[in-house]
Order: sequence, then C-alpha cells, then structure tokens
Amino acid sequence: MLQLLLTQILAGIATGALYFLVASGLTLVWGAMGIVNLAHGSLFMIAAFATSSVVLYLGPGAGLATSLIVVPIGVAAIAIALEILLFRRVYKAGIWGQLLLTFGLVLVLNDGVRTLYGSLPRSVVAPDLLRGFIELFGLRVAKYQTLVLGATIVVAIFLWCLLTRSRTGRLIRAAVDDPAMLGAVGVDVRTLRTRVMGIAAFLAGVAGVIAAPRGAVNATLDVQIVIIAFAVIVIGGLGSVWGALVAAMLVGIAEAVSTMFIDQGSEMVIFVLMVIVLFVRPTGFKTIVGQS
Amino acid sequence: MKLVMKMLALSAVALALPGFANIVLAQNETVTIAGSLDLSGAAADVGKDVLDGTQYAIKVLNEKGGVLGKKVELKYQDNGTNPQKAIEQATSLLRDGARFLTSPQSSASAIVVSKVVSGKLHVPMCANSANSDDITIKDFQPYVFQIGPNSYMEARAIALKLAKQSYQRYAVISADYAGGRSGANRFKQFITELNPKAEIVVEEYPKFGATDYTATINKVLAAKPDFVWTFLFGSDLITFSKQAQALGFFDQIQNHFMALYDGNTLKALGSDAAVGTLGFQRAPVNWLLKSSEDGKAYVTGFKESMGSYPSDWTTMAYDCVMTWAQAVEDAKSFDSDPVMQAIATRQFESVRGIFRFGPNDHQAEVPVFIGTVMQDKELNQPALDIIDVVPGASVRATEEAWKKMRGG
Repeated sequence: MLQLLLTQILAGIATGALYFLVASGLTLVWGAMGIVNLAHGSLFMIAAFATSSVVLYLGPGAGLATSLIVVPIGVAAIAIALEILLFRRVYKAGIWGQLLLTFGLVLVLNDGVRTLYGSLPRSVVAPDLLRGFIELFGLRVAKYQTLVLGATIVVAIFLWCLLTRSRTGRLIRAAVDDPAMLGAVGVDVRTLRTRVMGIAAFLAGVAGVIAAPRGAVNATLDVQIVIIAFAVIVIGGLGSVWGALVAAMLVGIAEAVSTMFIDQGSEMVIFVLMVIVLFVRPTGFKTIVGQS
Repeated sequence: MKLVMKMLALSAVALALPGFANIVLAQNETVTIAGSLDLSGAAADVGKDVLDGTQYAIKVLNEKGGVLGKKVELKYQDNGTNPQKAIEQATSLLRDGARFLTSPQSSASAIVVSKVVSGKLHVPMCANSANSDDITIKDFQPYVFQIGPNSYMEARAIALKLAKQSYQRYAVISADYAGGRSGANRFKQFITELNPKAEIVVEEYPKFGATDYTATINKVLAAKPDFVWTFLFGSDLITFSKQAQALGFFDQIQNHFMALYDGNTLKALGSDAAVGTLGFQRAPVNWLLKSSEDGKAYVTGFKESMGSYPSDWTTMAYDCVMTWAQAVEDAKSFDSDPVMQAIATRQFESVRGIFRFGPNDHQAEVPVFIGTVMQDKELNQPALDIIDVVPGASVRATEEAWKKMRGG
C-alpha cells in the first residue's frame, strides 16, 4: 500500500509538471493582460501536431530535439500575430468580448488542425533514449517522465529569472498588480501585452512538444488540457505563476492518489479540490505563495 | 375579359407543367439517407471513418444503378459527440425526408437517437460503431438494427475463450462511457459465470479521452492480476499502450492483455503496438482480404477510392448502408415497415459473410474476431493475427436472456 502510494505520488508529480507547463502561460496572460484565453489549449494542440510532423520527417531523436527549439518559436509567432491582429481589438470589449473571441479561436484553430491533419489520432514515437523506465528506490518512473520533470524545472527557472531579473518581468509583475497605473506612468502596455502573449504561447508550445510522445495526438487535446489548466490557475490564484506550480503538483498528485480509492472519474477530484480551496481561500494559493 | 384571363391562366399552367413534372421526377429519382455523425469531439476519429464507409457504400450502390432504380444521396451533420445535438439534427434530417438513418458513433448518442428519433418517427436506424447492447436489448425499439457484434456478444466470445485458460485474477479497464461500461459489466458477468474461480481483483474506469493513464497502470500492476481485459480503443488505447510500454507493463503481465483494436489504431500505434498481446476486432482488413472474393474486392476498391484501408468502423458503416439497400430491394419499398420486416426475416450478404438478424432484437449475428497483435508485412502495419472467428449466433443473447434483461 505504501509502495503504491509513493508510486502514485511520483506519477502525480510528473503529471502535475505537464499541467504546470500549460498553466504557467495561461496564468501569465490572465495576470498581465486580464484575458481569459480559452485558445491557450489550442496552441498546445498545434504544437503537439507540429511535433508529429517534424518527428515523422526527421525521426524520433532529431525530430524531438528540433521540435523543442522550432515548434515553440513557431507557436509564439502565431500567438503574437493573433494578439496584434485580433486581441488588441477586444481589450476594451470586456470579458464577454474576450470570451467570444477566444472561444471563436478555439473552433477555428480546431477546424484548421482537422483540415490539415484529419480526424485520426497520431502517435509520435519517443526517442530510444527516453523509452522504458528507471527505478528509484524501488519505484518505477518512465524515462520520458523525467524529461517532463526536467523541462518543468528549466521552465520554472526561466520564469523565475524572467519575473525577478528582467525589466519585462518587473513590468509583468507590475501589470498583474495594477495594469492601469502601468499605462499611466508611460509604459508601452501594447508591446508588453504582445510580449506576454508570445511568452505564454512559447510555454504552451514547449508543453505541446513534450506531451506529444506521451500519448495519442488528436484534435481533442485543446479542450482537455485547457479545462485542467483553468482549474490549476484558479486553485493557484489567478495571475500567480508560483501558485500555479503548487496547484499543478497538488492537482496531479490528487488525481493519481485518488485512483487508489475510487475506480472512476479521477478528474472529478480536480474540481472537488478546486471547490475546497476556493471555499477556504477564495483567491486560491496566491495569498500563500505570493503573486508572480 | 374573364375568358381571356382564364385562357392565360390555363396557358401558364400548361407551360409550367413540364417543368413541374421534371422537378417531381428529379425529386423521385433520388432517395436520401441521413446521419448525425460524431465528426468532432471525443468520438471524431470514429465519426470520420463512419462517414467514409457510408459515402463509399453510396458510391458502390449508385455505380450499380442505385436502390430500386433511385440514386442514393447522403445528408449528414456534425453533432460534436453531443447526444442532445444528435437528437435535434437526426430529427431535422428525417423530417426533411430521409428514409434511413445511420447512427451517431457514441453509444450514448446512438441510444437516445434510436429511442427519441428513429423510434418515434418510425424510420429505420442502423447502429454502426456504437455497440452497447442496450441498443437492441434494454432500449430496443422496432425500427433499430445493430450491424456489429454488440457488447454482450463480444464479452461472451472473449469470456468463453479466456475461461478455458488458467487465469483467475482479472483486471478490468474501460473508458467511462455507456458502451465501455456495458462491455465491462458483461465481461465481469460472463467470466465469473464461466469460470467460478475467476475474480475481478481491480477495475478502473478512466475518463473517455484521458491523457494520462500512469496512475491506472500503477494501480493495476499493484493488484498483480493474471490477465488484464480492457475496453479501450482509438486514442485511449494509443495513450494507454504508450504509457504502459514505457513502464514495462506488458512485460510484467507477460502480455496477458486484451483490448479492442481497429485498423486505424493499429496503424497509428506502429512500432508502439504491444506485439504478442491479444485483441478483438469487428472487421479486420487482413482477414477480409483472405476470407472471400467479396471481402478482397471491398478492401481493394475502398483503398483505390479513398487512399487507405477501411477501418473496422468504416466497414460497419458500409455494411449498414448495404444491409438497408438489400432490405429495400427485398421489400420492393422504401417504407419503414416492409424494410424492417425484411431485416427481421431475410438473410444478408456482407463482406464479413452471410448473416441474419435476431427477429426480436434486430441484432446481426456477425462474428467476433480474436487475435494476437503482430507486425503484418503485407499491410506494412501492426494487425491482429486472427486465431478465433467466433460465430455471432453462438454468443448472442438468447431469447430468455434478453427477455430477462428487458424486464419482461
């Protein structure tokens, strides 16, 4: 029982790591731009499909390595174009205008992917180096999960450096605290928003590349991942990157451990957890872990 | 003046009549079949295959002169794997004059469309990929027929095979949806009936379309089962297989594993397919190619026309249309009652062989295919090496059984 519990906690941490990769970008966009970007999961899905093409063309090892560099940049470029062409038109339209735009984007991007790749699921072959498992103190971890954990650590360090050591990071933190004041003191909020959108999409791109060899790549990934990511950022506190990290781990672990006690609907556990956290702390973990 | 007006009016009618007659003729030259299909959402991959199979069947029929001399046309809509939307769309399509309905793909949608649309509007509906036995047993209505082996038949065929083995500790995994639950319940029922020593040591019902099965895999391994039976397919099976391979799952359970495979899933799995494990199928392409000239002609014709091998769902959809067409030709009418009378009484030819429907449940007595996963050099993809073709009539619910299940 203890062995299984530890195995499930380890599995939960690895799952939570992937949730964090997606949720970190989503919470940045919410925090700095005040936008609920429903299409964030679509960027994740596009990255996964793009990875399937690159791996098919270059082979598992070179394909995955190339994808990790090229695909997130490509996804960030798409997001920057969308921000300049579409998002800027709805900042003043309030939450409903933003929701309509991003929901519309979910549908359009999903149809675009279906048109380009078809409806059948794809399977991306993992490199030989990352196939199989390793044993840590008698606990099995898929080698591929270690890549996910490694990428999460790199992303977390990148975000820490970005938010605490760079001017852009300081501006993002200021935007989270008081976006109106930022504009009033002469900061180019338009450019900042474009940058944030690009960074968030880059993170979604990294997550999509890393997720691709873990399971089926299909056109339902967008909605599946964004629902969980929203739960994570609500639990973590809207706009809080570190809150999202803690929440993602908690959600991953709760989901995995719950399978020991219930046979169905481990996803339900995420939302039960969300209700409990919001009941105790209506602002999520933000007040515990601090904002970004 | 009045006489002039009457003459003009009569002339106008006379001039208009040939055109009117042409319109009537044009309308009568085609017969419409319809489907509210799961072309997006969780069952989109199956929905696309069903659409391909339906369209190919119509192409074949029309090349042979249509049905009762009329060209067949298809009207379809995407229901997004949403039962409520499926009801609305199917109702609208039938009210526009469609004479036959091919079902949505998810069992939940197929059941409600059967009950609420086909049953109420008295239009024949064929359940193509949805195989919950509720469709023909608990929720049966006289205008539905099921073309694939239902969950009762599949579970019984597999349980009969496994009960002869020495396995006692079983694990059951199924996606959490109507068809999967139905299949899992039947398997548990049959395996414990047929092998009194059998016990279900662990069961798991992850969400349909789950992206992470690691926790499920850990839980199953910890229970140390002798055999793992799953009702996973498509994207679910791909994700499960990849994550299970990564954790050494198949080695640890010595390949004592079975899942529902279809051609597309095997193709997508490629080198990640769990070679040596067992699987069950509804219309394996490698078997169709070798079983008969009709089967071979169908597979090669489909590949030439659509550019790929037909999946199991494609073949089910193809057989739905072809079976309806045979019933119409036999009844010499498109009217629902004579068509359903033909369904209940006559023998049908299909690429899977000759079969009949149960007269009181309209369940096709089609075979269940069981085999071992292998890499097929001819198809250049993984396939099932078929080791058992279980006749449908030997595993279908008996009259006594379905009467009991219907509460009658």
